[in-house]
Amino acid sequence: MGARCSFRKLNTMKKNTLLFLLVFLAINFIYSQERYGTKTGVVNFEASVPSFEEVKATHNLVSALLKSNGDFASIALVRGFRFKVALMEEHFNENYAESNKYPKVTFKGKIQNFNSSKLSDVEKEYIISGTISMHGKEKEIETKAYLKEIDNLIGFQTTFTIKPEDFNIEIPSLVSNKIAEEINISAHFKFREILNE
Amino acid sequence: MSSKKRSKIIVGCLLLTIGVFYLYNYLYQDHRNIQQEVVEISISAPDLVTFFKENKSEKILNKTIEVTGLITDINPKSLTIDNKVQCSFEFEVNNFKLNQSIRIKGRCIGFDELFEIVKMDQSLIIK
Repeated sequence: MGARCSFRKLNTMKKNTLLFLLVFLAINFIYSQERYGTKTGVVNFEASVPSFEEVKATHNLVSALLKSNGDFASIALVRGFRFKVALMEEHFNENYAESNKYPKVTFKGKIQNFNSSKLSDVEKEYIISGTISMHGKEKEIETKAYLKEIDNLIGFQTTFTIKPEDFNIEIPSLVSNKIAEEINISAHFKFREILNE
Repeated sequence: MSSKKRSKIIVGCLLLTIGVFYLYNYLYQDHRNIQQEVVEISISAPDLVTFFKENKSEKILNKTIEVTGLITDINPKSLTIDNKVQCSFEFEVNNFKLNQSIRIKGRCIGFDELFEIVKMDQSLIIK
């Protein structure tokens, strides 16, 4: 009788251990997200007005992180925006973006209904929403993003518009007719999986 | 037309031309040439990160600097040193090996918290 009792005890212990192991694995599975990153993302912005000098800049060193659940974060260092006209670049940094005081533009958000395992070489449309912070101000945005996966690289691209006044950036009336009220932003990222070191 | 009036017009035209020339040169001045600028700070990659961690970034932001260390990542147009500094080039960089010792000059554009790296652009390989 006693032997049987201890046998039963051993059995429940085994069961408990098994249960514990299963829960542990499940938690591990939920939290062990795959992460994808890039340090050479491209962001363009254009605020040109027809028949005036083009107001356009390109950034080739934007960083971004994407998790398999759709969490998305990105940083663009303001000094990295390059203009064709040197003086325009200087004015952008000194007078508008004030890059010494606010050295970076960040985005933090989520790609809705994203599942990295469902990506294919056919581009798929998603909605991405989040917060852009720039020049000490924050602004919520929501826009479409297009993703695909080719050769283990996740291609991401999106376009949206922002307004200088959303970020407390004043355009002097002297130049306001040469700078568009809505600034077009486009972003192209190629994410590579980050392997744990 | 008196010769006095004529010389006034000529001088006026000359001044206008010079004025337009200077205005044009001001508006369309050249970009900084990082490769010809004098290096302000020569530093190792980990020490450069410390600058930003200690909030002394204004001493280094937008400055021409020189960084030394070992190559830890190679991309077509950028090299990463000691996993701390990413230097980007305006041309493709080939013929480099991981763990190779290197000295790079470039313009520091800031600190990226996502990857905890300092970024440099318009870089040039010194050694």
